[in-house]
Amino acid sequence: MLDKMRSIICNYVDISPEDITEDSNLTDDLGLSSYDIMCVLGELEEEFGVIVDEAEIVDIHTIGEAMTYSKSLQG
Amino acid sequence: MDKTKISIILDLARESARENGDRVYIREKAGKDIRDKSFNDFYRDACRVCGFVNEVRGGGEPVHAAVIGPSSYAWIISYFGTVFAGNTAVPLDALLNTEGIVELLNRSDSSIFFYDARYEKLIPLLKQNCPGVVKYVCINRSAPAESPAESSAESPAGDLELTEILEKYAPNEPAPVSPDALAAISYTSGTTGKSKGVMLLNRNFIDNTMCCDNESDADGVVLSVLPIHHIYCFTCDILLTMRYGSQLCLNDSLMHIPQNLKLFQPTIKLVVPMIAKTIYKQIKAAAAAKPEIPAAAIAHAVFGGRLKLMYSGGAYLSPELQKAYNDMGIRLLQGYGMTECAPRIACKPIDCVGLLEDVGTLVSGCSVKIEDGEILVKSHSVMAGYYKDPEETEKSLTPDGWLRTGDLGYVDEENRLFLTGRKKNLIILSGGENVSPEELENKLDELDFVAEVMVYDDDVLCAEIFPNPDVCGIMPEEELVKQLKDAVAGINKTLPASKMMRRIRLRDAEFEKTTSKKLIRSQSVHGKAI
Repeated sequence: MLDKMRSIICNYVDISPEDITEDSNLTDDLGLSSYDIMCVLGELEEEFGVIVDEAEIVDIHTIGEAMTYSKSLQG
Repeated sequence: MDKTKISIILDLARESARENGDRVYIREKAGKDIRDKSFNDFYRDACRVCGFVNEVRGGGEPVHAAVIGPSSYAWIISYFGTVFAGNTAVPLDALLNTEGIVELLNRSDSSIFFYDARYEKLIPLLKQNCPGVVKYVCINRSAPAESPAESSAESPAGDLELTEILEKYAPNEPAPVSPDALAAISYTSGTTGKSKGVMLLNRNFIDNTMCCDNESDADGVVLSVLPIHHIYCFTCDILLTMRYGSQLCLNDSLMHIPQNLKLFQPTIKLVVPMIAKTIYKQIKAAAAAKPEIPAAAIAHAVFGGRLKLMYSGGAYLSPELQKAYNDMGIRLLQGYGMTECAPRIACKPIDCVGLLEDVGTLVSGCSVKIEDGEILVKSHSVMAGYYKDPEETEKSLTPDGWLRTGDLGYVDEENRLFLTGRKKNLIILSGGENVSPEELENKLDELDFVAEVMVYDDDVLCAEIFPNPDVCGIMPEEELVKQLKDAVAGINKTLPASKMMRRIRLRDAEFEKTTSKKLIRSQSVHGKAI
């Protein structure tokens, strides 16, 4: 899943995939805007066939948290 | 549409239904399907809601009805049904927290609360804290209540479903009201930290809807992606599509803009710069992956194949981004306005060429004068004042009706408006959200280990803190950093997402201040990010 996350995020920021880790903060480390983050989550929905609850997005700050959240949706 | 026949919002909706009849007006997603509503459906349903609102009013003074929720057909008919007969709509930001909803329901004197089902769990608390609200109406319930018995047990007297209203009330045409009838109280962030209720009359909205020409036509398809409570969305998406007989497609979530562009294939879209920037990044990435395909062809596909025009407002749009879009064959045109002006002040004409640095040409009927560098405007779109706030009204409106914009700039000989800076401290994030730094600073100031703080736009909202040496003098830095992070995280939890401070900087010297001990906001800041 980390590789998929990397390839999605590289469409929004000019960064090498290997510099993206589970600990990377979406805004501070990767420089994503709040709308970039929404788009990334939209792509995750399509990629993994899940439905993201917008109310829970505010608790997602890092790549690891986004992965854990996507996994929890996949059940 | 014959402009001379339109003086109130009811006229606009009625004439639009008369001209466009059963043509599709509003399209929205309903599960995996698209639900279409015609201009006639819209007008009749809004008239039914109007019957309900008038019954609550009971022949007395006009009532105020707050509406909250994401973009939906139900939201739109709740708003128009309120406004048709001279009652007042109070559109609330769907990102408000509970405290904010309680405050604005009370401050706006709302009697009716139209809410999306996702707010249902707040209703018991609102009932305790908002004594003025007499009717609660759930406008969008995705699943019906399991059984009637359960439904009545959970919904105390006074609660209604919008579907019941649409069944119970006939679509009787309301009597015309005065163009001076108060149509909306729209809350905007203020520099004092307390949001201000902008009072907009029927004639303000109509003037702003009619102030430009040839922006769309009956073949136009608009994808509405902006927050629906926002004046820019209300006037330029909803009222303009009604005027031109265009189709209005509602975006269900910011997450789904790329999919919805392909689904609805719009010809026109209104954006804030942050959205334009992100979509541009997606196109650039796709073009890099497939260098054999021209970027313009990729952009054409990303935007659904028919997009020709994008309007940007709400925040600064860089000339580079305008040029990048124009190079891809999509006109990205900038405008300038504010809630207090319903909102348009200047717009780029569709056929404009060349210059990218101005924010547009003054719209028809809008006059500008410059006073001490500040832009003042006067037009029929200018608000009546701030609701129950004569002090702020007096600061914003001159006795002879000029609106102080708080922006610095000038107008050239061709009536093009240029901005040079902001007089106010208000932070406008690139998403268009207004954030009052004082509001956040006041919360941080309450912490005993904070001596001074300044909140500013650092790509993300940043709180730069000078710690109180009396409290933190002997504290190890790791401990101080932990306490600060915890404290800011605690405050962030109480705030809507747009106001969360995503970065903290620590400084080892006091801020520069004026002689009256006020922070100098223009000073360069240099604190270390923690």
